[in-house]
Amino acid sequence: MGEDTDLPLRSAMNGENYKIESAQSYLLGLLPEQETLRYDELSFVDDGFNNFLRNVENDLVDSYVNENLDAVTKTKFESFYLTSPKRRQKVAFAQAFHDLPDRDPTIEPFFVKATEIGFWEKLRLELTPATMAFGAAALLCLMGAIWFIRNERGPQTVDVAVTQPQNTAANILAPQNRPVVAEASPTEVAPPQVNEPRREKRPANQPEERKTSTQPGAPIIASFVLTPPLRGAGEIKSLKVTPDAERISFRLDLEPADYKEYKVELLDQVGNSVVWSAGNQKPKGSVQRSLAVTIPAKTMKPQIYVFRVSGITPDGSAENIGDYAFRIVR
Amino acid sequence: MVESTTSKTKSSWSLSESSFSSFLKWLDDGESSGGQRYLEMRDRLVWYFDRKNCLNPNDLADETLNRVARRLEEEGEIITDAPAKYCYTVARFVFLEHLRSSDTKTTPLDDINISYHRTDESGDAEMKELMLKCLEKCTSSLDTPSRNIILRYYLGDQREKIVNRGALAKSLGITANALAIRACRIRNKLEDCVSKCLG
Repeated sequence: MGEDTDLPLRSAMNGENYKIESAQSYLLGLLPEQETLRYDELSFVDDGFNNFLRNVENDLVDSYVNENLDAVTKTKFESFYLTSPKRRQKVAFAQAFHDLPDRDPTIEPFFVKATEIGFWEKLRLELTPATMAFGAAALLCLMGAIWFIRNERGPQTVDVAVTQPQNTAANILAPQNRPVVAEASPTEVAPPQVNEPRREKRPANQPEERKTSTQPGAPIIASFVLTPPLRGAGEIKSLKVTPDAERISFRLDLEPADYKEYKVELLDQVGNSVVWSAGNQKPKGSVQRSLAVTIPAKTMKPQIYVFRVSGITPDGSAENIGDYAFRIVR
Repeated sequence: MVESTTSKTKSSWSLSESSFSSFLKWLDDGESSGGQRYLEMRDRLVWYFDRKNCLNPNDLADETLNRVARRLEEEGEIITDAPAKYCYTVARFVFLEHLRSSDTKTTPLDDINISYHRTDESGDAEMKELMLKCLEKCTSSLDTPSRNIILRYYLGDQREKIVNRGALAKSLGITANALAIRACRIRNKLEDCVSKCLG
């Protein structure tokens, strides 16, 4: 019908909600008789309803004057409402009231255009859950792009691939709000082989850090990809882990092999002692097979570690297929 | 109290000063309003009869008030209903009588100029000019806060209007409901002023 208003909708007397549309229908003689009688009585006995009804009438008249009524309502307004001399006078008043600002420039300062409302007030009025969600998504994309570009160009940083989470233990990650950057060690040599197109853009001797989407309250996980070591090469990758990381997740890319299960051991630099191990690890991926490993961050110190990966043969024995050496940097 | 011009029954009855005082006291329902409640009730009655498309809503409103006052004088008190409810009940009967009355003057819709045109379209520039002058005069006679409210409350269309009303209520430190009531009263006051100005 007419335009939306911010009129009071609830009666102070009986708590009943009054609808603008019903009130407009009443004023235009469109309500059924019983409902009309009820509104008749309420207009006497309920001060709140009386005020509400008067406001609805004023806004209805203003809507007509401002030509904001739909065709049906406008027709009914002209055929019913305007039959009363008093109501016609009310419309004439509204028309004059509408023209008043144009006539008297001194009145202008009293008006506040919507554009003059404060930015935050206007923003508050404009924001809806959908726009907020869209804005948040856009902000995340923007932040990700900036972070990506910064790391793409930085000489001391490695490429960061923002990838979809995979269904591996290492990638049930909790996303992180703070970047955990894997930095290249100045001593690194012999770039590792890379198999994914994304890695072609980064220095090949540096590990890939992967991120997933963010979830509030989830633990912070540093995530890295270690490519298969070249035989005879002594490269050591430096993985920088921020102090707030709670877990460190590794994806150990595998060379083609027929093992169905693997054993992974984490060895420290000093005595080759095993600080962590996991057996019966099943590889993921069809093209690039890999193992997912997640280690509590507090168990890893700033030193060199080695992931020793062994393939489990059908008879249960383990065959060493590669050592993934890396350096933890805090 | 205005003499009824439409009542056929007991038209000889007239309201005495004491009866009128008793009537005002009864309408106030225990709280002295200085006659304000009476004016409000009459206004509601006029509005009611106008909504019923009665051609003489003022007369019917006065007839209703006269009947209530007479009943009060005769009975000494009216305890069956609250004043507002009782006035409505009597108004309902007055309206039904008005419909049945042989001298009710009805006007076929065909005879009414239903194709109402706004003043700027009707070519009645003189009337429009007079209306605007009266409105300016009445608006300028308002106190500054009331003038500020009435001009800002009805500013704009649709969303702009809502934004303005919200900002106005916030700036005044009152609820939207309270602002709506205040603005409506100021507008009614302006309308009355303009109506008197136009004669």
